[in-house]
Amino acid sequence: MQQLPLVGAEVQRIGSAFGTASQELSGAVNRLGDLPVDTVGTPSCDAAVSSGLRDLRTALARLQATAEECVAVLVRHGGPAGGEDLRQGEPT
Amino acid sequence: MLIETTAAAPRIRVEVPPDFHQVPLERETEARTASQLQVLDEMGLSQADQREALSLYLEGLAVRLTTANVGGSAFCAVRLDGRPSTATLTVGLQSIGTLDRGLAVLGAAEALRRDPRYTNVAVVELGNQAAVTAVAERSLASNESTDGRRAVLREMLAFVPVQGHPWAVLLTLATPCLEDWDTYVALLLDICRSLQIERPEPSLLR
Amino acid sequence: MRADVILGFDPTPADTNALVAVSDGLRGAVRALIEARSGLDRLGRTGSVWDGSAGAPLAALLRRFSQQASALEESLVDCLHAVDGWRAGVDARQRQVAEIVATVAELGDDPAATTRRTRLIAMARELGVDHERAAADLSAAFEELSASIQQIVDPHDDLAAELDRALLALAAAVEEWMADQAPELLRTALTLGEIAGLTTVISELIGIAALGRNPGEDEGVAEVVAKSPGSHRLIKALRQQWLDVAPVELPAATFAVRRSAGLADALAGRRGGDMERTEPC
Repeated sequence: MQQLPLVGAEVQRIGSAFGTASQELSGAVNRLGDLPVDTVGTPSCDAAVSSGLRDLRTALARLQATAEECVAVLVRHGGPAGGEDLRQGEPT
Repeated sequence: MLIETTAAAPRIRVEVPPDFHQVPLERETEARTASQLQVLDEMGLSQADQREALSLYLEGLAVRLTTANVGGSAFCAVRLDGRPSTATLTVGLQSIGTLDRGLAVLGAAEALRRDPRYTNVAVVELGNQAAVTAVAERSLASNESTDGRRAVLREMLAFVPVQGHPWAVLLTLATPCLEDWDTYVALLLDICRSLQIERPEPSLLR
Repeated sequence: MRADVILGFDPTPADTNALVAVSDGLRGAVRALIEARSGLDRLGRTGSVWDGSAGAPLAALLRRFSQQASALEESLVDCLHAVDGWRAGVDARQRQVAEIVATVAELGDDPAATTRRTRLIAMARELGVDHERAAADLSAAFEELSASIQQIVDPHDDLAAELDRALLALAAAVEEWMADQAPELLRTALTLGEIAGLTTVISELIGIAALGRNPGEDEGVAEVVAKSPGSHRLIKALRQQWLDVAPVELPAATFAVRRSAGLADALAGRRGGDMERTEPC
């Protein structure tokens, strides 16, 4: 595939947005992993909270992985020269 | 003020500040001459030979423009920062063969980027519309001027697809007054933002 | 004083510090989801380069990711409300239990206080029942979160692969558009630049642009001169320097039709006093 560096610059904006998404989600996944889930309430309630938070963490990690995969795809399509022409100020 | 263009093209209105004087392009000689005289008066020229020279040039330019794919051309002669400053605005319509404005913007941006005459090619957002800008410079004189400077005309080209039509408006704002460049760039983007589809005739309105 | 030591049981088990941590963690996740989607939402909006048939598949993928984040965020907000409600209830019940525990401890083994102690322990048990009921609500909220997540996030969804295909198609569409349109576009752009150059000669004739040249030597200008009704006189005029007869006063620039903030900034502070005499730019 022929690289389209300027189109790549636009593509890199998407890559950057997915990169931010990945970073944010990664932080959330890590924070959720450290939570004390076994003393939230009654034992049965602790089990439900623990299970819910585990599912949430898995979902966030899945979204984060998707964002990361998208970044990889976008980097492949963007081309190294893409960002050079990107003008600051009024990006699309 | 009217812009000559093909019947198939949409009628476009762009708002141009009153600081700009349009090069008269009326088809009828009488009307064109009257407009040329008005430009001469607006410029406050008192010397007869200077008035004649400008009048002759405006007429030659009008004839030249009829053979070009150009809708209109205008110039300003103003004071900026206490200095004289001048710039020209040229507008044209270009068929783009698609109603997909995004595709046209990406294609035009890439085409301009591949052309070595243009630098700083960028996709910009003008309100609710993506557009392409590019900068070019041309040397106006083969030799350096007496003060050692090389006269350069710097131009910014803007490519703005027209919503709902397979056409784009191309605008060029050019100036030899490089110290005023930022002002003229901001002005061009404002003019681009003012673009509207009009009926019944395409016009470059003050 | 520990309830299980004094009363023999803990009617309202819950670690408030842990609850604060869970609540903060969920809030952080909501914030992360909002941040994650907001950049993508901005890119895919109307008028962007992706707003057209060629960019539509790409915009749809951005939307899909954003919608997943948004749906997750909504479920999480519901769950967060449940946690905050549970926290407030736990606080209130644990305060009441603490009072009961303090009183029971104070009564000690006094046989005369048996009835009162029994009543207090019964009250503590009732609080325990309320606590269980509220805990069941919290459990339900987290079970609902789990169920929503199954609906929202499809583990087999391969958005990246679809993105790859969309980008390939877009690149091909752009190349095709360029093959059809670029030559004419560049010709028009070049013409506009040439006309801009020819129009600049007007400023030289007026005497406000001193470019140190004879514009008549320019090929394009010569073409204009040839089309002028008085070519010879114009050639002569173009050889002259017109600075001495430039307009004494030029109007201050207003550029006033639709001035943007950017243009206003560019013009700010540029309103000097009237000029005695113009000098070329």
